[in-house]
Amino acid sequence: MKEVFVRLARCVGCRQCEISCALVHSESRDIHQAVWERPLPRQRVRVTREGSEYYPLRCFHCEDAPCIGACITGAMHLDEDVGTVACDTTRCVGCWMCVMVCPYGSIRIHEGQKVALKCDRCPDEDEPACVRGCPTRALLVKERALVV
Amino acid sequence: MKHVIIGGSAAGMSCAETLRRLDPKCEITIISDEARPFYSRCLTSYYIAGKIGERDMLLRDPGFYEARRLDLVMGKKAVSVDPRKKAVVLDDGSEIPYDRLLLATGGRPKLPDIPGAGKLGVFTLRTWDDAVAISERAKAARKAVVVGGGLIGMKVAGALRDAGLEVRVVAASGRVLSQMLDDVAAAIARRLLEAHGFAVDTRCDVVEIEGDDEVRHVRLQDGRRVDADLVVIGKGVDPEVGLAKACGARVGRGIIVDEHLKTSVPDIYAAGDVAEAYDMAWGEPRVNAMWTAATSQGQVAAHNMAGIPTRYPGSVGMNSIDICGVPFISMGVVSPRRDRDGNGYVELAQRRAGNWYRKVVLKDRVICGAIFAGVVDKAGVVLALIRARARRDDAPERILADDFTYATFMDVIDEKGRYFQEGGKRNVQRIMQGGY
Repeated sequence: MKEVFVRLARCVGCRQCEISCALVHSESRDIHQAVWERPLPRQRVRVTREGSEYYPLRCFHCEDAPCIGACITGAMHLDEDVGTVACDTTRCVGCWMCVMVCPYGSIRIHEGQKVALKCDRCPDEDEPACVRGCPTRALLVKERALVV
Repeated sequence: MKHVIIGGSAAGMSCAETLRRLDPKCEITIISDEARPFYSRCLTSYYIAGKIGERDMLLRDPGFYEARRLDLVMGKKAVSVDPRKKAVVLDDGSEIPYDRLLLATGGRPKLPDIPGAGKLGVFTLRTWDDAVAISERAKAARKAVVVGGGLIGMKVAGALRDAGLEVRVVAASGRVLSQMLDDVAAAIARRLLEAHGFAVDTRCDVVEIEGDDEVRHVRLQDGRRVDADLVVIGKGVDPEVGLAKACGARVGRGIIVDEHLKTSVPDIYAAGDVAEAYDMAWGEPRVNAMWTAATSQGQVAAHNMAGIPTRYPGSVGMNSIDICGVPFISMGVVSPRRDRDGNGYVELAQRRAGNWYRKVVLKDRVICGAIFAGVVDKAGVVLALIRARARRDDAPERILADDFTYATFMDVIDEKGRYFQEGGKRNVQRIMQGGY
């Protein structure tokens, strides 16, 4: 099963992954038009600086995901085919239980729609947008079994 | 092996599903006194508000029980357990034998002794049936009084307001959400409620519910008499410990369980809102009646029932509520009682413009509780820190300044946090040190 991995030493904090992520989740998918969309397209990955290092933080798609156990509607679920933790936003009521339990802070509130906002690992793309957009190849897709 | 589970909600169902995964051959019987398949109890207020329909209440597809060979006995009440014969007796007189038994009997709304509480139009909210009855009544009602300012009370109040009623909340304590919030956060919540047209009375109680057959007015402690054609009483929930007590299990506020969620009676386990299990923030057993704890306790109980010894790491009492569009999250120890707990706790808080408020509570310099209002992003990181019981002296300052992420605390969370268990090791490896 495919997995997104991070090579921390290569991340220079350029935030290109954030832009690629927001763009792929926009209506127009065009950066010049996307900036005028309301609500603004939001990124699901966040680059944060800690000391001298940068960390692109995103959903780890945990195997034993606390957000799934906490979800009161069944919106947050395991997509067994691709091994991702997916949120069916049509079922999300905005109770924020998932926000409360995610140890990585990877689930946020979509302010415009009042639903949970998290990485969907780009189900319709060949490669996740953050990986494709990363100029230093700090983010990369690998088979899970190869690394662990 | 024959497993019997009393209670068909979060704890019971997660136990049943885990048992089936662990042992494809065992027999599993679930006894539920509600005549409904597994639904989301937490959604009842959304149902009253009209935001959730019949189908979205159900958490499993219709063929689910059959596909997993779960024998569901619906609409029947277990009236006793005979631990010597190892059998459960139902209200129709039939007996169901067990090898291992899970008590997931949940809770029952407290019913204070208010004269007139038996009148038509007076409800408590626990089950889907309760929600159906309340929303039926709400169709023709105009004015609602919610007795109790706790989580259930606030959720019902919001739902009834969404359904178009005028709503008054009457809370006995000095603030709304007194268990979940402190004075400052509760004041923010109250101001929001009042700005959105709710009437809120604190330090007040309903002393009588008046009307002929149906409720027409309620009389308040301070002598006022207010119109009401719908009353919901939300004064808390008591663990449903009757069965456990009768079969000789040790009972405190809930059923007392050990670290394997076993009761004091052989081969009987307990999980969910009825269980008094270890609380990591308080460092002592507590009843934490919440969906997430019920789910994980059900899973842990299932492992132990299936003969795979598994320790329950404990829960942290927590909750999340949206009040008039503003999120509030509270976790662990938020209002340490000085009279009982002495001065071992330190409370630090930060208030910003708007509805932004944040607080952390420390004991022995370790974070054991937090409140988030207005902005709740990353609350889960703080929860992980509480669960890890790790001391990081910069943590309070950085949390209050909103200058932190998972990366800030990843060393202590991952090293000491038993949170992640099996999947966790792998999660950590997904951030790799250096290239390869």
